[in-house]
Amino acid sequence: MDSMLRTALIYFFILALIRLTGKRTLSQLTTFDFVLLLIIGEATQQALIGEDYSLTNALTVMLTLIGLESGLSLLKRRFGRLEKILDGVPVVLVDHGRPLTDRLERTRLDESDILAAAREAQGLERMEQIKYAVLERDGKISVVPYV
Amino acid sequence: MALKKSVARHGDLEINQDIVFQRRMWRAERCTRYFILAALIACVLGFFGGGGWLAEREIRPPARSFVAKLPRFGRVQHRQQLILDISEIPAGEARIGVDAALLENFYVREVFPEPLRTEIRDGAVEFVFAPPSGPWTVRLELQPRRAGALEGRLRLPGGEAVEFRQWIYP
Repeated sequence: MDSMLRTALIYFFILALIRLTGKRTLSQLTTFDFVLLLIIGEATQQALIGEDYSLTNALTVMLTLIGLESGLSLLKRRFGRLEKILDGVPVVLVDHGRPLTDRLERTRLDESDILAAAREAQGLERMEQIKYAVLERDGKISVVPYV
Repeated sequence: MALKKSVARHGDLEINQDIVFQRRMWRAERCTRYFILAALIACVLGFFGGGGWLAEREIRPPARSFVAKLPRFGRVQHRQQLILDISEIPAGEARIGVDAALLENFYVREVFPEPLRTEIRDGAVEFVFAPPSGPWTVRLELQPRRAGALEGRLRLPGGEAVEFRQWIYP
């Protein structure tokens, strides 16, 4: 019971922290981000299992994590509002070649990020070639070019 | 249960954009940044245990016959030191009593200097030391058994007592 509570607390803490520190925080992993994730994992592991190194405790922790994850995904399907809160919503950043600067600022992005995504995904050269650029729910930028 | 949700439009783009909701999330993100900053400052100051500028506290009786130094906050299973600086010791054996509540809330992992013997009296454990010459410092290493507001009491030579209440984080 104790390890289940600890697991649930850590699960919701990480969920809230990642959700509330911005979409792009962990979406495009650099090498440093990857190392940071490993350190977070190491720091969390001790708190998850405590001093109980038994197989039963490890299985309880895993079951709790997977149970929470699948339970939340079911709830998200049922309640659209919860899905929005947990997964976020897409945000249009460029509308008919015009960057929406207020939104770019709030998402801590700039035009060079949009142009980089446009080059990588569509081979586009200029902002005017972009019809829409959208910051997706997973933190990636998708680009719709003018046909 | 309806699987197909209606999709809103932004120009030609079919997209479930909800800018009112998104603005609320941005506000929440900004608040989170302040919260993280506040939590970091609290960590540096020692409000979550584990050391810091305000992490230690001292208990002094009006007569100033001893000073007890201990952390303001602790963490469950994390060892911490309670230091007793005693200036007035009556002649004979020096005894420090650890009451039942303290033993229930904390493991006493180490006592320094090493006591000559340990006695059990009235539900409390008494450590008996060789009589010190002059001011005397005793270190007790305590390990909280559980989280919450834990209390303890120590009886000192001369009949004085150190009573403390400490918040232990999970």
